[in-house]
Amino acid sequence: MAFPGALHQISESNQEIFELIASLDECFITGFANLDEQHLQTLQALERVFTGTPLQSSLSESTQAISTNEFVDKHFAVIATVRAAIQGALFDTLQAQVRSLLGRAAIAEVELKDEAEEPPNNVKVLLASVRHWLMEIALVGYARLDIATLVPFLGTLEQIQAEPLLVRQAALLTGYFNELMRNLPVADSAAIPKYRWVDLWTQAMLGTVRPAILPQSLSISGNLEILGLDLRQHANLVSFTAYGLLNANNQTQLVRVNQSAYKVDAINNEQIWLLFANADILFDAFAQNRVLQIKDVPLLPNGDLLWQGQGELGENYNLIKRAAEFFAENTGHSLIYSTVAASDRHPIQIAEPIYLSNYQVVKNDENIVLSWGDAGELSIAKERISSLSELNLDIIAKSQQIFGLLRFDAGKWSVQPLAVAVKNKITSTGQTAASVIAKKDSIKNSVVGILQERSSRLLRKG
Amino acid sequence: MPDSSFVGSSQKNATTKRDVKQVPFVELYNHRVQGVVSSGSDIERVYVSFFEAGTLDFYCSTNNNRPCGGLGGYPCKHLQAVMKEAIAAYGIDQVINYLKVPGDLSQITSLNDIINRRGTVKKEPASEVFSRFLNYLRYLELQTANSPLPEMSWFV
Repeated sequence: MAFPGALHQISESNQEIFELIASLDECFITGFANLDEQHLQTLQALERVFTGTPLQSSLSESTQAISTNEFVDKHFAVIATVRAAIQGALFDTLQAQVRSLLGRAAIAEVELKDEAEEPPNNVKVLLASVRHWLMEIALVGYARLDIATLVPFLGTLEQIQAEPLLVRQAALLTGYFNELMRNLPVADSAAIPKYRWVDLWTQAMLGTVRPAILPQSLSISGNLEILGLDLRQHANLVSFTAYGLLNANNQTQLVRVNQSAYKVDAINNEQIWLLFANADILFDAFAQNRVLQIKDVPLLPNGDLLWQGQGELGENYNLIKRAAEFFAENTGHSLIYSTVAASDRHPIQIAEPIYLSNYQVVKNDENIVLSWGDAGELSIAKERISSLSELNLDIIAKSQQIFGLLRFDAGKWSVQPLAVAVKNKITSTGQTAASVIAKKDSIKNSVVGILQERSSRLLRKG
Repeated sequence: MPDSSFVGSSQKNATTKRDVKQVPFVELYNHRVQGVVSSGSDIERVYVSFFEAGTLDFYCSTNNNRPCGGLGGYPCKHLQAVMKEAIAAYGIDQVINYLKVPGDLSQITSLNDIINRRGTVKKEPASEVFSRFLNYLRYLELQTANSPLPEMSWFV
């Protein structure tokens, strides 16, 4: 059995790529206004790596400009693009590795057709402000950055949050801004989570150059079986991605349904589900393991459904059985996979669905490991399990079957469980959402209800 | 070994249940622990209170900038409520750290230990904290979308 034992070998070339990223990230600690000889050598090494690629000439122009203290935001957009391109290449090699070990065919590239419309002018102005702010952060460097550099950005951030076209930028920038405000100035520059912070910077910068308008979608009708929910949150936003099988037009495809809601930090328990009252039919379907019949829902080329909350409950399905059918190793069942857009590729976005069984649970410090003896082992990606999830390590440790996502972080593969079976009882993230929403009376005394009351009384008088 | 995209969650166990009814808003922001306390007698009124980092100077007033009647040389019940909720929200270690509470840290383990190291009354307009609070409430009215947010992969 090649999987999962063979999964854990990181190729030498990937190792070198990680080192290259780490040395580029050093420039963001020191600040591009204070680069020394070694940092400049890193930029030159990057130039050599990108020789012969479409980025060659713009990268060479940008490193030249930065080396001579000519600071213009477009050069920093190029640095972000280059860093993202490296991460994208890592995504591709890692995904190809895991899919070949699982006996899955390579995923064909999908073509994205952009809408012809131009984004409105205010969007362009806001994105230009973001680029400028990000350049300032890069110039100062995380080691010297102070909150005084950040606070003036708040006004721009509020405008971005109010602009629906910029919801991706708003989600990211709000989390990034909060995190910096909480942690700056840093006492010890060696303790800066530099890979993460430069990633967030890179994503924010990419968000200013990517089209703000979604690509063209197709309208689709069919039966949707939700297999699991991935829940993510920061203080001001909560978002979930539901992974499901869509049976439509005589084929089965893996699709994602995404829903998100702004929130405040005080909403930090099961009341989170009250923010998704419009998705109650989906939660009902998931809690009861019943098919959701959807009609004329736009489907983006990457496999994301732009679902608006409509649907009807259909027949029951067996979640774990369906997961095993499609996502066990070397399963014969083929399906159309969802994909990640090229500009979003980064190892953090690898989410290869997997069904696991016949493992032994081994406790290991503060985590647990699934072991198949000589065939290898796989850790639980506990860093991805939301504190709001119904799942926890105790339940996972008792399980016999898991449906989850294979994840890659810090050079290691692991599995993020979305649904686990202990004997015949399934526990999954989001399975209690329907019952929380159904207890409508509880809303009035919930954090959401209390703050909405405060809001209605005070907000329009401010 | 390459770095992780996530930061360790050492503070996950620090937070306890918040009393939003009494203190709808509390935050560590811009060198202050600050918050808003709902008035017990008038549903239209709130008190705005803060402690300043370093000095532990403090103030409490209504949203209309009238000084709080309970404020002598000692933090009133609103200020104490804000501090209590800050500890509930962030954990006492983070609050002490953020406020740069002076003295032997091993001796500071409770709300009272912090209050006992208070500074003096520092009269400042309530408007800044109040507008932070209104902005906080605004999050519950903002529209989101059903489109993908791959960026949220960084936030668990």
